Amino acid sequence: MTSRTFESRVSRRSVLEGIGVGALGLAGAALIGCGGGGQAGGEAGGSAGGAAGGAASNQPKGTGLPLTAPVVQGKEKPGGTFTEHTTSTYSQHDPGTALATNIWHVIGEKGLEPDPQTGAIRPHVMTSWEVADPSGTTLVFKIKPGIKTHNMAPWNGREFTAEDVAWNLERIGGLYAERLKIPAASFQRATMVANLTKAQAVDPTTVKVTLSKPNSSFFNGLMDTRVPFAPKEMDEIGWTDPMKMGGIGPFQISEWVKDQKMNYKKHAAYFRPGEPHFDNFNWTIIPDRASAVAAFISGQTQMISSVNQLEIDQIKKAKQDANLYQWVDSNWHHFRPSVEYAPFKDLRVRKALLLAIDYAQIMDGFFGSGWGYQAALNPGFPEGWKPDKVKTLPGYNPDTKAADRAEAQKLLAAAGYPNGKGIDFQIIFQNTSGAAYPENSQRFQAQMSQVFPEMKVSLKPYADNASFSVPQAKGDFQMVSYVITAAPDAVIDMQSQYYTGGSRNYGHFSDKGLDALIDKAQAELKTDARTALLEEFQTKFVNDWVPMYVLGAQPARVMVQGNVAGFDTTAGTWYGYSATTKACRWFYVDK
Amino acid sequence: MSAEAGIGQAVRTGRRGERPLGARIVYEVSKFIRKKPLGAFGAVVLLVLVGMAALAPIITPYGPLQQGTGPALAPPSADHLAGTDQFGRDVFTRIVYGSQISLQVSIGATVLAIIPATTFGMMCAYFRGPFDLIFQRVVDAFQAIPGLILLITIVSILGSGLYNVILALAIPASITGSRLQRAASMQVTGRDYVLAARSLGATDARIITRYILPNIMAPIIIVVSLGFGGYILAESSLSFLGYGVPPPAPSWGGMLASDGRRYMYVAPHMFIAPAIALSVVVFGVNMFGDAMRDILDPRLRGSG
Amino acid sequence: MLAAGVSSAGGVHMAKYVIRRLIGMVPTWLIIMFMVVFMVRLIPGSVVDLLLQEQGGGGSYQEGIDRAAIEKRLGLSDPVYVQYAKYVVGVAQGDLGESLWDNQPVTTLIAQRVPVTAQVALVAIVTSVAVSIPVGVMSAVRRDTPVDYLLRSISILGISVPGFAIGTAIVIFPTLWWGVTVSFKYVTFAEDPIQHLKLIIPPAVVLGVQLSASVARLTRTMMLEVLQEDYIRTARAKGLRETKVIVKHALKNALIPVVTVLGIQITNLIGGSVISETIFAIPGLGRLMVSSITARDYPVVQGIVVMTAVFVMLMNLAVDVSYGYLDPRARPA
Repeated sequence: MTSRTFESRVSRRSVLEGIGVGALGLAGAALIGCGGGGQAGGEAGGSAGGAAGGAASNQPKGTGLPLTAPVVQGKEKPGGTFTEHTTSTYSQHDPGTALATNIWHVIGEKGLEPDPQTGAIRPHVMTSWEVADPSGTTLVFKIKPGIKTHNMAPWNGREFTAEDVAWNLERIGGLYAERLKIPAASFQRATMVANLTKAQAVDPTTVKVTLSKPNSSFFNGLMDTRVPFAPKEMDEIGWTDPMKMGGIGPFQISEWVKDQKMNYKKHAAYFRPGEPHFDNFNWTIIPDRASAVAAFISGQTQMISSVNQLEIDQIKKAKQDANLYQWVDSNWHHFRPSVEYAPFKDLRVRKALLLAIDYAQIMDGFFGSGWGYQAALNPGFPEGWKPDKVKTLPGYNPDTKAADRAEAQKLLAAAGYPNGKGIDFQIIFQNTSGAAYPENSQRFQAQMSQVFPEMKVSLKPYADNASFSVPQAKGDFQMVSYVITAAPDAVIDMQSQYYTGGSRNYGHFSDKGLDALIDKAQAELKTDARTALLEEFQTKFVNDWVPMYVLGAQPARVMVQGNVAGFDTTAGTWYGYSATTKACRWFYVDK
Repeated sequence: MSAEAGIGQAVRTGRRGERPLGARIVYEVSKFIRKKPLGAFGAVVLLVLVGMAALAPIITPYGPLQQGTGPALAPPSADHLAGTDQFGRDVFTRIVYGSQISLQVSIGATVLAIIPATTFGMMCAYFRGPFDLIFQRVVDAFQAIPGLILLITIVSILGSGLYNVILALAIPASITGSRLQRAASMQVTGRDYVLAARSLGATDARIITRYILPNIMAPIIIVVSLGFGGYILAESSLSFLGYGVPPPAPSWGGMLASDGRRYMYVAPHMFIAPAIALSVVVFGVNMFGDAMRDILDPRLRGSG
Repeated sequence: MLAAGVSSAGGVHMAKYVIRRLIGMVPTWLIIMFMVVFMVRLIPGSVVDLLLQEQGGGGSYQEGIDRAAIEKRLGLSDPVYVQYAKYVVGVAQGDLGESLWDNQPVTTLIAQRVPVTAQVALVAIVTSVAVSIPVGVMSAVRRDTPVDYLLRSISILGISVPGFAIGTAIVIFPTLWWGVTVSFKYVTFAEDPIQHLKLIIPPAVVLGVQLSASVARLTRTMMLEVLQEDYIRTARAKGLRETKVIVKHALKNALIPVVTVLGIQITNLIGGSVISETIFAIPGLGRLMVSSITARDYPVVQGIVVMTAVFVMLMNLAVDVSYGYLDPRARPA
């Protein structure tokens, strides 16, 4: 099964009120050409000699989060083959219903793109986006003209138009469920375009969308890597044979052998002339992590993701010129309590655990440095509290740990569980090789036995994702150790996690005040007011609700061979699914 | 009393039976060591294993689950004979406690397997007919399905945990192992004394327990001693795929397959220590089993 | 089980024996299919759960997940015994069904993967037999001497170290020391024969080491047994040279059960191939089996088990038939 810890694209500013075109000012210049425009004001980044920058940059850029993104310099060598590894070939190929990474992340393109570092919305397939009427229920998008599909039957390079876009929007929203005889609930990303009732092409470059009620998350939703666009004939062609799939993305499928390889070749019509890029983009399947590291060290692959500190040390010893890119990620690790387990119904018990956990010990223990403190919202969200602020809160503050733990003991005693006596629960987790969950759980277990000697915590691992996801989805647990990839929009994320009956609310947390706050934020189209509501949400999260123990936002770490340039232009919290979507911006240099 | 003195006395008196028991044991043991040194090595390994398991709390400075006993991933030192792991747990302590798990797995699986295997085997040999016919087809089925797949499936169904792993290891072995017991039993059922007993009106159960069972003890012992090490190895393979004894238990297979491999680049001692422990034990057990078989199998007695 | 059906009446009896055995396989086959159909469905977490798991959204699309429709589409809504019956009927007609995930016919999937697993197994068997039989013979002939101890120690080491440890060592130590390692980019024989053969060797070594140990051990045991037999004593008494005695008389007879055991070991090879295929990134049958279990792709798991079982049973039959021809006591007069 494909790893579940994919980094995700996440949105940032919910651009509302028709700010789209004006605010960026680059709408015309920022074209399709991979990634929708370079850094502010520039074209594609990282061209030969004379490029700005030099050594690794540790300066926070706009999000206030640390970022390591060395700039590689040298003489451009256009072409070549870039190889990355993954643990298995994709098994689902319909982006509307797929749960994991799929081919469309490579061969498709999204409506809107986030700036990798600031998360600002950038035009992509859609060049402008706005709320067209005061009630907030009509949206209008302009589509870039001249987008060409892949040169294969039945498209043969035809132009991708507003009709295709309208079809995509409706399909993502699950509007075709009945016609296609697929359950509506299978359309996993429908919330990205929630409340959509109709999308139509007014002319070849304009799409009009009608909503049943206002949705402040709509534009952010379109930046989600998991909603790429496909040509509208795909339903007839069917979603089972990857070799038949063609899109508008920078790379086109050339070879696909299950469990062996997924190879792509460049889509010539995509790239702007003169821009260096790879000719081939290949994926080799290596199921075992130790072997994958060996493959990178021996130069068989050019990139390796999710490296931990020890792998980094080893790789650097063996390959001094390999570069490390690191940033705070949109994946957040957590322990989720179920309120079905009686002690966890009591806010005092939940708060006691919040105060008692030593977050730094757990996150440092597995990740080393580079992770970020997180309370409710991932720090990458503009509205999210930054790690520095979270670190000052009780429970999170390393300096007050002893006092916090004393307070926790008092709370437990007041709730009727002195020293944890009477609390006996089990943590379930997925025992996959290299995952953080087994270690997180073991460290937590050791901590609890230290602070609350009478508390009993046991561990229940599951060997694979399928077995694990059953009890999690059913809510059949007392506590779960897992990781969540933040949704592209703060409101969408919080709604799925904590809203009564929310799709990811496995712990069955329910609070009317929380629900009301979310509803309000969803309908609020004014940015400032919305941010204020989310601020209120985060405060109440740690004081009045405590539905979750967020350990922190994990550090994303990628190592890239020393002769690959351009990665710095794509590195950042919102960089999407790593190589599946950004390889078009990288290229070889002579070293 | 020394062995030599005992032997001398036996030679003088000409009658073995007069030798004191203690000397007799020493004599047999030294004979064993001389004739089968590898087997003796194996016996020593087994004794050390059992000793480690029994004396674990006494010979280890820390607890097996105790985190932070030292800096994480530290190489071997005076304080930590085999270094520490990523949680700062003492690897040497975990190896020692791991012997308990290895013993539980191998003894547990062996016992759980041998009882049904012997029972089915004897029943098949004795009753023959349709029961035998059908049961042999079931054995064929179990033998034709790749073992690892059976194990993974059973563990997936039962869930993770030490006892489930033991059960999973025992189930296929109990079925396929019956074949050997059946063959051995068949040799016995044809014998005259069984026929005689039957004609005298002895019940089936009595015949089975009184006549057949004692005579197939040798194959049982051989199977047990040879299969012992296999269970430990199988558990480690299961751990590699994620289906073995779950953390934080200090099973050697788990230490080797997950933590050891993961941190092998920077902390090779985490891989090497359990690898040595596991290999030495399996090696020793196999050697001991070989020696047992050499001694007990009547076909192999004699010069050579 | 072995010489039972082979009498001195020759070919006709042999044919009857084979037919009897083939007929006897049918109930075994039915039992196997029942076991696998039943057991995979017992594993918690059905494929439907997997398909529906993790609703990425919320709100208005939550009402009533239509599991029933999905189950019906996948043929999972019938009771287990009905699914079993349908499966048996399908298999009898050569239809092993389709993968639940991408609808590829199971036979196609298996056909793609069998060659490389078979190649690895073949190389493993050939090399290990070439090494371990002489080792076993030497060990037996020089029983309880230092040579015996040394050879036995080495071969037992082969089955004392877990396969994945050997495989890991092969991959990682060269990387640690020299920065090079085996290639992980699989190519078929047609694409690049040399490279393909180079890829086959490391996993074959891992499997071969373990196989060698068992074969060496068994050879030693059988040789020891045979060397006590009367006809060996007769041959010696006749004054034949020792080497001739060993090779011409003893070895031939000792090898018969070894060949039988090899047949049984084939199932172990498939299990062992899972591990080496994972470590060396070889797209073989073993990995397909495990990944199908993880994905709860029932038809694929069933198909692999059924095909493997058929192969193993036929192999064992072939071995038994050849046993009848090799064993002088069972040879037709």
